[in-house]
Amino acid sequence: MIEINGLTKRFGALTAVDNIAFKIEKGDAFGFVGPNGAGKTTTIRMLATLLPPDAGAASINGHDIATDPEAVRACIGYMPDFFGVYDDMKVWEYLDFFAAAYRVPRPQRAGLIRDVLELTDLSNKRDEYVESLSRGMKQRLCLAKTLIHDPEVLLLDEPASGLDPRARIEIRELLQELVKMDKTILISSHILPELSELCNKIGVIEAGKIILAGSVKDISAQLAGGVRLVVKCASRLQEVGAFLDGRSDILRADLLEDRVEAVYQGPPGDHHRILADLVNAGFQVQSFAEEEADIESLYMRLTRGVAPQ
Amino acid sequence: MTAFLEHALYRVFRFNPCLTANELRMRMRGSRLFLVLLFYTLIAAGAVLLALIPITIERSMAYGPDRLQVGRILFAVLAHTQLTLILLILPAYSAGTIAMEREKRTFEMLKASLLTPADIVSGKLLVILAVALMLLFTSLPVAAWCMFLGGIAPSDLFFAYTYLLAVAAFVSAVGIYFSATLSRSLAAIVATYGTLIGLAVLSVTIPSLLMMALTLGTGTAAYFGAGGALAVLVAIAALSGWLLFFGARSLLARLLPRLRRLFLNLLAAAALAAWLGLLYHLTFSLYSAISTATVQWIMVLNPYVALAGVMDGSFAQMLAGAPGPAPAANVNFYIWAVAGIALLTLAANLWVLSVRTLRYRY
Repeated sequence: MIEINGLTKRFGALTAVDNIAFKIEKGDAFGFVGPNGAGKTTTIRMLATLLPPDAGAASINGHDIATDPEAVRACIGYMPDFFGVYDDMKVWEYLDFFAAAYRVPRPQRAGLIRDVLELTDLSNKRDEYVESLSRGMKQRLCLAKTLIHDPEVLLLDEPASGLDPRARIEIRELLQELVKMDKTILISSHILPELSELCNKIGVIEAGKIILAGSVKDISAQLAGGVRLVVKCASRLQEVGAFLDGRSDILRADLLEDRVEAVYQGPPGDHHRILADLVNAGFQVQSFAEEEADIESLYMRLTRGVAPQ
Repeated sequence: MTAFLEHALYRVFRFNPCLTANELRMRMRGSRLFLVLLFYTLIAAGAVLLALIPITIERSMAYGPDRLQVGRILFAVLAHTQLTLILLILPAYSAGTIAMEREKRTFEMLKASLLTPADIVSGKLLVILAVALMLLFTSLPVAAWCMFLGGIAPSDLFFAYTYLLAVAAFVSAVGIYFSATLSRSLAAIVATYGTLIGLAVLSVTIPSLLMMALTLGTGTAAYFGAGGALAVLVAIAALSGWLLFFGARSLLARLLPRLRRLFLNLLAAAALAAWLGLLYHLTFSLYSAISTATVQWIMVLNPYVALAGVMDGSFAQMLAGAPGPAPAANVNFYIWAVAGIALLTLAANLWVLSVRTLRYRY
């Protein structure tokens, strides 16, 4: 769906995006993570065909961004990190304008506007002036505008930046809705919890370079040095801890108040044996789960020491 | 109907008119445009009424102008007042457009949509021309006062207003060009007014040089003058011919998609030849019509002429036809026509430049 190959952008002496490459499949929600100034916005602008790349190539839906920008624009919805709205314009007029700008035929526009307003929960604001909306509503309106031509790919640059917690949650719910609609989404953020519930893949960028890209699960396994296991038992928790600690395929087992957390480092995919062994040893296992790595601690680990200065 | 029009515009000209439609809707709201129209008409009417005072005093004396001449003088005053107002008002409208969108962070989303740079520049230009049309339209009742006195033919009215619209197109194109090139709207406004004032100053100095060359002289000054005049004419012919050839070819290619490239080139070349022939005819008819009045010859060569004319009063005098025998009936028509063509040529070239600038700017 989105293929990036050696994309590079320089501004004078500064290389903002340095030879990055990754791939996003249809239906993926790709979290583009990195500190401010890492090159996220520059990458997204190149994908949105606003900035010509200095080297490398990228294609969206099979259309090259440099040679066929019009086809690319037709199939993407782009939401910039900062944006303004027009004065003297009503919500429905704003959407009607962008529908026309995307050449949606006039008879279809009214229905589309109703749909996107409903999706973004702005139906009752249809006839209000755009500048009278709150910040969170403007952000949702911008998302509605991004969806107006029903694009397959969404490029969202920090869609929840500068919002209060409530509006942030509303945006996140809306994005989850879009994931369910099977849109391919590239969403950038420097705030990780925002992405952890939303994305199935992440790419970490720092100083213009992709440090790591892949599915959240793979990356967390790679980083933790293994799979994190959480075991809960009805009784004899300490013995469970000791049992796990004694095994050669367990790197470490920590005894906590109500559970044991362990890091598995044996053959990949074979950690079900541990459960079998626990049950055979007579422990009353209540829950045995593989824990998704905490994406925030992962981020801190990744970006440490790579940052400039 | 509008849906059909939209579709046709897009199919034939690849022009998506939604920006114009949208911006007009926004501008019609509130009282700002109404106030601009009101003051525009009041100032135009006030200027005509003020001009009536000295004329009435002169009329009370034996050698004052007759009724027809009064009509022509008043109409010249109205035309020049409108010209001045357009030169003052329209840069403020046009220079802000794109740079202001950049400042308000709305331009990026516009640029990422399916609107092409040509859509954006044409759309903005049409909005300003619509405002200019409204301004000119509201002043028509004032023009009716002048026509009431006689001395002004309907064709004079038509060509004067068409010329004013050409000036409006040129001023808007200058403003939009700077708006597309510069990031800050303030810089764009300063650059636009600066350029227009610079052109006005040049239009006063160059014609006086030319006039010296044509009236006084032989030798270097005469060659300089004739050469300058020729250069301006050749520039107009080259710029407009270039635009016409490529414009006609791409339009024909869309209208007749199956026609072969050779025939397209031939058809476009025929259009070009017809156009150059018309220019040649206009220039020489003009030359023979006004060979007695050097001032008028110079006016043809300079789009800013009218402003220079306001400054030394020669324009009003010429329009009024005083003193001496009345000029040939078609003189004014030719002056308006050639000056208008020159302005439109410049405007079209600025349009091309703006579109090119916007291709990689957001």
